[in-house]
Amino acid sequence: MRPAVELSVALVTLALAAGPLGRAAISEPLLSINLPVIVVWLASWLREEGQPWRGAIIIGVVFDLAGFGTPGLWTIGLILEVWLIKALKARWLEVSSIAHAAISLLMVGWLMEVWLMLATSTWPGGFVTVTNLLLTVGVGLISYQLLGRVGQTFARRSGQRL
Amino acid sequence: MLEGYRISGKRRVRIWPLAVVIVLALVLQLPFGYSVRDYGRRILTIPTRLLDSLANRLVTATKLVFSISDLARENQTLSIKVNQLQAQVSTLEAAGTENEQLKRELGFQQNSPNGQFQTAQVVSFSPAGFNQSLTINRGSRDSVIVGSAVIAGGYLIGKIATVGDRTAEVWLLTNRNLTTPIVLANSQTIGLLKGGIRGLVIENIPLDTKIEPNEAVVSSSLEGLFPPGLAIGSVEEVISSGEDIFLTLRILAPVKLGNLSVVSVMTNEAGG
Repeated sequence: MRPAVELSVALVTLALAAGPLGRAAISEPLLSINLPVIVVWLASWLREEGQPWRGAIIIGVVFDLAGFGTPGLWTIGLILEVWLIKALKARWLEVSSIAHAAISLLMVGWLMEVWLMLATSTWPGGFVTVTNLLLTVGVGLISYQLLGRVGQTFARRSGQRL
Repeated sequence: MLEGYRISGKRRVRIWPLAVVIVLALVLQLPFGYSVRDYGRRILTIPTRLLDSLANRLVTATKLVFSISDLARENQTLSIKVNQLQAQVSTLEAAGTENEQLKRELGFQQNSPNGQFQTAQVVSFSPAGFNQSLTINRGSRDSVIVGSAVIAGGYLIGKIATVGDRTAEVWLLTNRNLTTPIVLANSQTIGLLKGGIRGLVIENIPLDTKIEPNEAVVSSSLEGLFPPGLAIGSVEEVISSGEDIFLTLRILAPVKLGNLSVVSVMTNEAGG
């Protein structure tokens, strides 16, 4: 992806996360979804090559600029996420497996939750954390499946062998 | 030699994201960084507001479709309530006049008891949902200071946690990092209000306190965090068990935080 596309994705992610999703999480804390984690996970998990770092940094910087947290809070968290995904893909997990995708998303989601909790000194409690994590994994896997199908459709149209 | 160059190239690729973040974090710590972030917040909240407004319209339209059958009945109930409230307002106006006269007689100097308010728009919510905070479009240029009380619909909903030039972060009462001293209106008992998975709860109420159903809960000036007497909500139920040495109460706050779009910030009352 080009930087302009990555910036657009970052802005849409921010608009969703700090708009309707943020509003829903204020209304009902159990409905919180960590959207930047899902977006960076999708970009790093599904792409074989390229620079997932750049996407993570752009999304992280946009979130850091828009928020009041410690500078670098989101950027560092998302870079850690990319590192973990790269390590998991290189050694243990298979990209095509939905079970492996779920495991990887669970791990990076948990990593991000712990990082945000430590960095902001906010302890929402085990139940809220687990619920948010499961919701993030659920939404992430649905997006993974949808993107997989869209990818297949595009591949068919362009005449590629699947 | 060639292998060595490749390894160093890979290392460089691994190190540069970290280098970018470290430089960015350091630059944003400088005074110049505050202005950059404040400007960034104002620009970046534009798409957020657009999308949020669109989502709100969609939700409202959907709700409207599903609630048409209830509207007539609700309208009837509301008409009755309006009549009852009008009667109450008349009674309160009479009591207010009497109160004013008594204050004058006692030489009570009234300095605008509710303070001065700045109306502010909610521009975004925290992307990390457990933070329970939001951003408003008023900052230090609008005399907003850290600790100022934030009010919506006449009820205290939070305090200003961080202030930028033209934006500010509001910690809601439901934020886990915020403990608010309160007073139970009838018994004048002081307790601590906290947010969490059980909603808003008041802790550390002595066991022998007589709790009235729907007893009003107002802010306390203890710790200098908020001005006293700001309405917060009413007691919903006692949730502590028989073995506990203090009472724990669940509070019903009438303001729906998920519907907030405009709030008021008290600007002349300094907080903690």
